[in-house]
Amino acid sequence: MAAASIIAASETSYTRHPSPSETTHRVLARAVRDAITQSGLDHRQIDGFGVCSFTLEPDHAIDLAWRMGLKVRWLMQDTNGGASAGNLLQHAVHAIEAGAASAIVLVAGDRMDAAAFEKLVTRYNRATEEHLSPLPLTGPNALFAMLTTRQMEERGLEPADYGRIAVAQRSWAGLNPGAVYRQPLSLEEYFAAPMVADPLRRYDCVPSVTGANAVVVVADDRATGMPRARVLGVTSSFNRDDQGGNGLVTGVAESADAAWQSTGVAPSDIDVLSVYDDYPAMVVAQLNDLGVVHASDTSRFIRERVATRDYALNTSGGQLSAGQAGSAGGMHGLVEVVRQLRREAGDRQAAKARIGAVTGYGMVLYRYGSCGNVTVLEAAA
Amino acid sequence: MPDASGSSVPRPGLVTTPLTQAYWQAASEGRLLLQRCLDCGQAQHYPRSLCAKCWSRQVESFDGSGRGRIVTFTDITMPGHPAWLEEAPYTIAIIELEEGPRLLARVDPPTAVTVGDLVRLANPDRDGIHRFEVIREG
Repeated sequence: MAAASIIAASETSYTRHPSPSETTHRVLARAVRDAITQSGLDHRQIDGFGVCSFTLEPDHAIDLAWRMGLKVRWLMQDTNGGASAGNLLQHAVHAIEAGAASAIVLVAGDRMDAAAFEKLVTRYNRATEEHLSPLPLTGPNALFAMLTTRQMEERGLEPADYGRIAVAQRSWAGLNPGAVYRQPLSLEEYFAAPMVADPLRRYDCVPSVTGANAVVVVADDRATGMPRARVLGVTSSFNRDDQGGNGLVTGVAESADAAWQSTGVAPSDIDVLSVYDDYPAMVVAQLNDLGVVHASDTSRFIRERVATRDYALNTSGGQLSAGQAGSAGGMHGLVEVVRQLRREAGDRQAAKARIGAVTGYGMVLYRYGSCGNVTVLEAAA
Repeated sequence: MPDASGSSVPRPGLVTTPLTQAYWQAASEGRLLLQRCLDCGQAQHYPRSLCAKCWSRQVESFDGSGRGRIVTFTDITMPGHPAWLEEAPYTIAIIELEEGPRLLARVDPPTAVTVGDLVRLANPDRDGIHRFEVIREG
């Protein structure tokens, strides 16, 4: 179909500790402005706007549009955290197909300081507030620790398998000037780091940062001749199992089946891949869900393809090393794959970058993420 | 990340809604309230206004047996909220209850749990929250 293409992708600098003068509005506006500038469009040509931010409240997308002087005919706000980028993109593509808009900017990000993070993790949703916080269970680390334990048992993985993912992503981050953690990490240092929630150690847990990401999506026929990422498909899954399973299979599984069927792309065709990496266990789960590697072959794949960086996986360093800018987590991976397909990835540019895939994952309702999506992109010029 | 001054930080308070008031009242009395659908028989946790399976609105609360099995667990060294630092290390587990539903709960003794352990409801903690303990054979 390829009705729409991404012609620009921006990421503000990510910072672990935001300056007092930084605000959510400012960081989102910076990402929007950078993306529009990169697209070669004028902000008056933008007629669609989509936003996701945990910390924009009490403001909404319309307030941000007003503050930025964006006058649009299509407006949307998404609340789905790590799945928001895919969700926004899915709707944006439909809007362009339907003629509801022709040039859409999507942005996600947050000013995430200690107070914002604490509020987010204790009051993430009603179930967190009522049923998790009092246990006491605050924040996702312990939940994904339990999931990791279960995954190790069911897939025959060892702690070192997870460590190799964290170490490999840190090596990629060394090639990304935008990553917050760039110094090399050894497997020994990974194991020597403090335990957070057994079996998760410090480097298994995504570092929270302040920042934002944005993309510009236009009708594909408007973008002829521009280096761009054609959107071949975006597929989503929500609340696949009512939180009644183990969380080892995510919504990415159904989304992937639908994606391969509708796009004709096979998992083996992927040249560059960003999977949502709040924890190494979720990298494993989604590699399996996508069909990139069979569950029983995971350990070998990690050692031979991921640890060696032979496979272009989370080439920005992922959120684990580049940082998780609140609700920009899902868009971080999208921006990285677009950069790769536009051959703008600098020292980490993949030699072959024709087909890209991105997963979104998020919204822990009670025990694990309930939303998953898959975006399939193709390089075009 | 929390720092060592955590013990002075106020704990997140218990939040209840009309739907969960009875549930937490029972918890403070050492009981575990579950819901059963009068139409399809499905047992569910936590309290909802309808049966999530068949959408019947005929759901009733009942006292669960409080017995179950550890599906997975974690020993928390660095809690996600500084108020809980003084509690660490402690153990949180996913428990599959005899009645079917799974719930997250604290299990004692801390850091001495394995997958598959049988557990039973113990006296509530000082905040009136459910606490389970491992049943040791013999």
